[in-house]
Amino acid sequence: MVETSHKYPKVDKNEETKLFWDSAKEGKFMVRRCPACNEIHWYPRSLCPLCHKAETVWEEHSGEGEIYTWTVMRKSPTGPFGLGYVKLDGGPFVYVRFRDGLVDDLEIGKRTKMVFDKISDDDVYLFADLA
Amino acid sequence: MSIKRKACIAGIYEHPLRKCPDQSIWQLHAEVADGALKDAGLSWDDVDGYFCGGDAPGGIMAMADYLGLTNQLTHYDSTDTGGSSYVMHVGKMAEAIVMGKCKVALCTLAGKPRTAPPVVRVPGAEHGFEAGYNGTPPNLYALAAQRHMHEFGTTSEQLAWIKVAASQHAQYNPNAMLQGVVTVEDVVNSPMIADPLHMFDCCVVSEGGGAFVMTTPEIAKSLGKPIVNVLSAAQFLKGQAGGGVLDLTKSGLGVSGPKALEQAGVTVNDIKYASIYDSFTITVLMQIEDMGFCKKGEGGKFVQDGNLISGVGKLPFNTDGGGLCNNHPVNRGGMTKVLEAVRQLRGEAHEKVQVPNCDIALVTGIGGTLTVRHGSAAAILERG
Repeated sequence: MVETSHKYPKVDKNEETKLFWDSAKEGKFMVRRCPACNEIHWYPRSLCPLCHKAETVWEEHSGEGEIYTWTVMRKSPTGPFGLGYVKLDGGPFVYVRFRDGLVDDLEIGKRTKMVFDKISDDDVYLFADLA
Repeated sequence: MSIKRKACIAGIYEHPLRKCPDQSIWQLHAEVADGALKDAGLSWDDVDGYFCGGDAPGGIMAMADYLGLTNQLTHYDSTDTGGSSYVMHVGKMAEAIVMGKCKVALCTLAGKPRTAPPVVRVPGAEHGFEAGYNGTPPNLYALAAQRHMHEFGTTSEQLAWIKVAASQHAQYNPNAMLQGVVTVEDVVNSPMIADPLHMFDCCVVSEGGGAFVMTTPEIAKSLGKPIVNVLSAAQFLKGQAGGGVLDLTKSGLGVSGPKALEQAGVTVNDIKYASIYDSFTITVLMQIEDMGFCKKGEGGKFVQDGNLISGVGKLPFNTDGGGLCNNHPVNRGGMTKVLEAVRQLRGEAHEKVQVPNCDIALVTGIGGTLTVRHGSAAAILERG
């Protein structure tokens, strides 16, 4: 776990996402799978946004995937940072920021892993790292 | 039921300032409304329909009341899809007129993004999973450019041609924020903001705003101004929808654009002038493909070598200098796109950029964020 130097807003949690953030503190990357269409989606919703046929169920995901697209934001008061979309293995595309400091080696198709880094005394937040 | 030739844009006004430290946002709305009504030859008392975006401070009731329009409006709508709202409103205003809900519809946009704090919105469900990432228009549109380059070999030099064309037009607009002509080299050598987008790939951040007035063909004909008919308008929302399928090389205009063409009964070959939403160069390139001016992936070749420059290329675009050089008020470029299309159809664009025999024009909008979720809108207008 990396301690980040940036100021991040307090994580906006709600009734639907509390389990995700509780699990995140244990390092578990949770997603929701639909028992009707058998697909996982992102970000987690109760009613499947893909088939709308069933209530989805939490499961742990390896967090592994690959870069679909990326950028490095150069004009930032807190220093450059990477941003992109990652295609999760067996699952959806996830809009995500790359782990602090990861700005030089980003490339479409590179393997990634989801990580949780501490952003305050209270919260961890989701980032992607190169696998 | 169709809106084709059943409503006309009768008045337009673009605020001449790009920085407005001395005016309130409400005052700017009033100034642009007054300008558009005077341009039409209509009075405030004639207005019975009012349209604005969701950014109007206080909401539409407070804004209409400030403007002195409460007690006379029989229709009002502040549906918001960011900068595309005003292109979408072309359709909504025409529909309201066709349905008899109002006869004189006014649409205003105004704001001060350089000097007034941004409006805080009620966050959506995605907030917990996105708000911490500092995603902003430049880095989020860069994600599309990066993928487009990867799939189709599009180059920074090709994107630069879009800015070059806008700058060629802006030199004739005395109100343009950036009036200097730039070269492809200037663009690719400007500072990198978010790979692969350079500073000159990004639109200006400007204040002020604009307004337009739409009315029935009967009223429009009584005003003595050149007639501008609405032929069609269409809209489409694109986003992640759960993340199952994602293609960031396409915008929602891939649906709304062809639909607008079909409903107008025209093809891309009939479009003499196009106001194409230009928050960034990549936004223009993708929309040109999505409209069908060329095949997907061939936008880079289409825009290069001056093909978007009036009098030079096949598709004159954004002859006011667009958001890239002239004006992108309140980070919402849809309003100025409508206004320049009307000037072209009236024959009132600057003589150096006026498209000869300009009888059919396209207006497009991409609002929100291209790669996260956005509203797209297309409208086809015709010289009456």
